Amino acid sequence: MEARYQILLIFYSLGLLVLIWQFTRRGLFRPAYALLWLLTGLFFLFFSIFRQLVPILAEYFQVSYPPSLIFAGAIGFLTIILIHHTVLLSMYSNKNKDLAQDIAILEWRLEQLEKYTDQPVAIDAETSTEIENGVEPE
Amino acid sequence: MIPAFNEEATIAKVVKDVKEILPETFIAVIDDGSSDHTGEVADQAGAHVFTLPYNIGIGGAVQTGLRFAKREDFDFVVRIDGDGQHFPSDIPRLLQPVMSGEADVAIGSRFFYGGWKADISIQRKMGIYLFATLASALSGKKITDPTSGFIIMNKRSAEFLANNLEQDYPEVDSRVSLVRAGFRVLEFPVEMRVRQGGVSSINTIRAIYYVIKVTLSILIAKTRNYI
Repeated sequence: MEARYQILLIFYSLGLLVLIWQFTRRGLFRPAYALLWLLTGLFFLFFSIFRQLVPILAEYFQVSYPPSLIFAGAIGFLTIILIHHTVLLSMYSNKNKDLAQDIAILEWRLEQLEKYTDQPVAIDAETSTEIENGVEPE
Repeated sequence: MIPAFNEEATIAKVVKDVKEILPETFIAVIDDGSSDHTGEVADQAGAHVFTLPYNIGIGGAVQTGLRFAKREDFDFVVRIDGDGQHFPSDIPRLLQPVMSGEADVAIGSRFFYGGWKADISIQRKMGIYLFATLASALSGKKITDPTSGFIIMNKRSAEFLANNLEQDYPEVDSRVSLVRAGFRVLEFPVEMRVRQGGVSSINTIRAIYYVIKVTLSILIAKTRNYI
């Protein structure tokens, strides 16, 4: 029964690692962001294989209920991942704001340019050629 | 500079009033992703309209103007609200101390002489009192109207704020950060009207979030290092 549980845990950890690997391989995860997840997966795999380490560690840290050590470790990893996500989210929302501001400023400058040249600035090569040849773009 | 979010009812008058007082000035309306015709109305009134692709918050909108001012190397930046609550006729009086170098930043205060205006709700008074107390304590300067959006900046302070401004509700904590960064911030008494139209961006549900968020921002502004 103990062994069955261990096999289940090993499969779970391997499944997690394979999933992360596949996500990264297909470009759904950027490798830099997959790193923390891989470490989490390896943490689970390590302790599901070397299960006998858990009570030893628990004794060392004077934890009366050994599995709670694994929970603590898991929560620790998840917390780090979540903090990492908040950092990334803040960074991207900041960059997003900068881009929105750039768009507003560039759009204004483009309008000035269009007023100055008295014709719309071409949006693609085809239109550009049409304007050069004196054809009024649609 | 006039940040505006859905202010089509009032923006034209604000722009025209400013134009009358300061005919030579570059008037920028930052349309913060309005869903009404704020941008068109402001354009027809003779302002330069900067259209943000979506709503990014008042601080982000103001920052757009500040970044543009920095780019164009403007000497002074005046920020007033688009809802018509500020009197553009006050601008020259507030601009004077900044132009003369007496202050880096001049801010119009409704409560300069103490006392409350009758038309402000009790919740708002409580919020303003809390922020005034906090911002005064943390900046070491007496601040009577911490949420005022009537601000006049010289080049240096405008540039500082272009780099250090909260994306939403930036007024209160920028008071602390400006003082901490060594800028001379002076308040001047002004009258303000109740908004002349449109809807305030702060409704009841947001008020609680507003208070907590701004309090946090003030504390952060106090502890952050400004170079």
